[in-house]
Amino acid sequence: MNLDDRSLREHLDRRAEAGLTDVEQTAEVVLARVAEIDRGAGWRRLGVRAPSLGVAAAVIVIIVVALAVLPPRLWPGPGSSPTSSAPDAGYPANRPLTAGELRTLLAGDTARLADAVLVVDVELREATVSCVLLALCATFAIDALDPTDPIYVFDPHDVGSVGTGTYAFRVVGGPEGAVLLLGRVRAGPDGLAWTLPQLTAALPDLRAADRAVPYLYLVDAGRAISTVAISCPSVPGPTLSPDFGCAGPWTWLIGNEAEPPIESDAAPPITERFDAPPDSLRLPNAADRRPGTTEHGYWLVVPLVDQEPCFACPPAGAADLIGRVLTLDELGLASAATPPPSTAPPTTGPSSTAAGSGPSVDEVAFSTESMTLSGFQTADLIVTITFSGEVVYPGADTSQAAQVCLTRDPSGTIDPRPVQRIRGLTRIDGTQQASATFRMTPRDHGTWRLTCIIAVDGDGRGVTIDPVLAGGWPEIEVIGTHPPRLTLELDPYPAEIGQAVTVSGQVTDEDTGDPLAGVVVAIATNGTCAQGGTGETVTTDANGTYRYERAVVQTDLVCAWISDTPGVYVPDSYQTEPVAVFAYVLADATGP
Amino acid sequence: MEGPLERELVEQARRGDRAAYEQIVRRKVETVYRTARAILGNDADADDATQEALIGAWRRIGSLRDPGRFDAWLGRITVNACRMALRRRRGPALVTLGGSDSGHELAETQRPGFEHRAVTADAFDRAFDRLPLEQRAILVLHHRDELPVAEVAARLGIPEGTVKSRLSAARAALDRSLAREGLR
Repeated sequence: MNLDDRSLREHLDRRAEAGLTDVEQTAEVVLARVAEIDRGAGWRRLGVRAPSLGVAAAVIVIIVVALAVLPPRLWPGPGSSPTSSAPDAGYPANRPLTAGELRTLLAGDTARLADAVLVVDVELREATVSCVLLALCATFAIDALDPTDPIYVFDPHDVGSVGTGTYAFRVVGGPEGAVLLLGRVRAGPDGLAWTLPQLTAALPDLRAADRAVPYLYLVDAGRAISTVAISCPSVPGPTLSPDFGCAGPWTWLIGNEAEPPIESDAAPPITERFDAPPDSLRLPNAADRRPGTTEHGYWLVVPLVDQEPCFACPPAGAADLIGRVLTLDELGLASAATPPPSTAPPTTGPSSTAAGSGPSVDEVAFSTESMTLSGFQTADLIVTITFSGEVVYPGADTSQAAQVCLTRDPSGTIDPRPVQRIRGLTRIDGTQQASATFRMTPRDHGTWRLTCIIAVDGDGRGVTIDPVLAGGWPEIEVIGTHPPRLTLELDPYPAEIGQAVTVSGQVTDEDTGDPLAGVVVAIATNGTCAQGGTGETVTTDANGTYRYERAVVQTDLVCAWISDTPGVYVPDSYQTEPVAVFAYVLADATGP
Repeated sequence: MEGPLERELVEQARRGDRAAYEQIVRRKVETVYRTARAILGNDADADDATQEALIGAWRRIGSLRDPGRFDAWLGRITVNACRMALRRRRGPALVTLGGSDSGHELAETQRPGFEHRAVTADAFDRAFDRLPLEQRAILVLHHRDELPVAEVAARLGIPEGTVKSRLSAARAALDRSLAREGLR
């Protein structure tokens, strides 16, 4: 069907006007948030030392190892707060933490914050971080406009939430901490936190909204109370979502606010399934989290609005328990509306963040200080580091290899996002030197700075040398013009299993928009989209377009990248354009 | 925006005048919401995107170099907010295949040479929602908001030539998507 312009306009107008949202109300919400931001504006300008990229990368390694080694039951479950709070410990329900407060916390003793849940009002921006053979890369950055001082955020569950707003994070280990993104927090009608009755009443509406609600909700359970255990039958058949279902034998409820708190730590009684007090908020706890009865306060929950009614499923209106949010008192922060100033950032270095002796960096050298690239040209930047002291190179285990990071100054570049590249260091035989090679393309236009070196000493201790603190280390300026741009389109989309799918797209000059003919485009699926993957190749025609057909055999990830000579563009994790473009084919198992 | 009065409001907002920005929000919220609603197709996501765009604009307004380009700048933020709203959805938005008319309002194609087949609102929405956000945005900006190619290019941050090729590709993709609804 070919729609003419008028019909297209009519349909788009209908979509635009069909909404029932009261935009005046939306404006009021915006203005209230603007007022909150305005109150904290001066704070954001304070210079506070944040976790360095190097430390963040080190934490990545720790996380990867931990995830690989620990069985799920031993992995710290949601909400394992380091301390318990008094029933009246006040979280400032109307004020989430500021980014500055988060910096202060992460710059301090983060051991006590391990696994803590924090609610912070921040701006998240996509951070393009390329990691070689690492399972987890930083996905977002906080306050990325200051490239020397971002907090890097990991998104292990692909929460996929980025922008300006109130977010919940879980603090993970590392000497300076790092944060995992849990999701976005939706404020209640009277402030950040919801009362139990408010949220209980709102859940059916959220469910009726017929949409996947990505928001988390902070529940003011300061006066409530009892955690009541109910049995969750073990039933064969379709398994429930591990996030939502009765994965363990216990389901916990937070009872009605009107009930008096239970002061005993004794195990609560097992009652009938779903035999909850009237009007209580039900919190199935998929992660076997067993909140003590003294752990009152503010709890982060995600409503089960997606859950279809089924046998043994949590009841409608239930919410999954994510974790307990620490109060300002527990965090050592004043509960006043205006946060206190933080410590000034260190200005000298380099410094090792690990205790005791370890390898130190004597010299860092770049093979060149600048390069000019156009079109498909590429050039290699070789970074050579001279260590003193022993550095271990584990060999095949690249997750443990010494690494080096480059970060591009986002100002004045084609891509305004902060971009970080991490590469493993290879020892130069017979020397104390190691090197890493970064292949640069015209899309890498901008100034790149060394921002981390990670090395492991002979005792197996991870030692991070943070060149950010040193200053004056080498930079390289890449002048890139006319980078190729690659698009990818799938038709049909989504597809059904067995259906032929056409993968098509165009290669153009990003600066001029002109189509580029004769460009070899590689197309691959799933695992072959990873670094070093190979794919089928097609060549663009005079219009710069390419076309390739394949049959869908399962839910596929399709990617394409430019593979041309003399330049070789390879797919690179978290670098999706224009080197590689990814799209999902959604295979419909119910299809023919 | 671009009028002298509104330009002055932007100038004041850039200097941190929250009252000025409040006036801007009240003037722009409807436009931002309608654009987001057309791109995203549902109230909740459009509301989220609108809030995110207007709050984000306040945070970054100090970086706006040319107050006269506020509308283009805000439009770019709006499209980005729509992209993020889509990303926030858990899992893919499932689209029922095959199409079913459910009594929604109809619009008819009038293109000569083609059979007059009704494109129901449901069918159009399903077809439109299958398009990538970039294609939805470019169609909305050009065909609904009636922005010229140069202005669309400014709002999307891409060259004009790219806008033209993407517009063409988006129309073709929409036609193919409509065909999947049995409307060929």
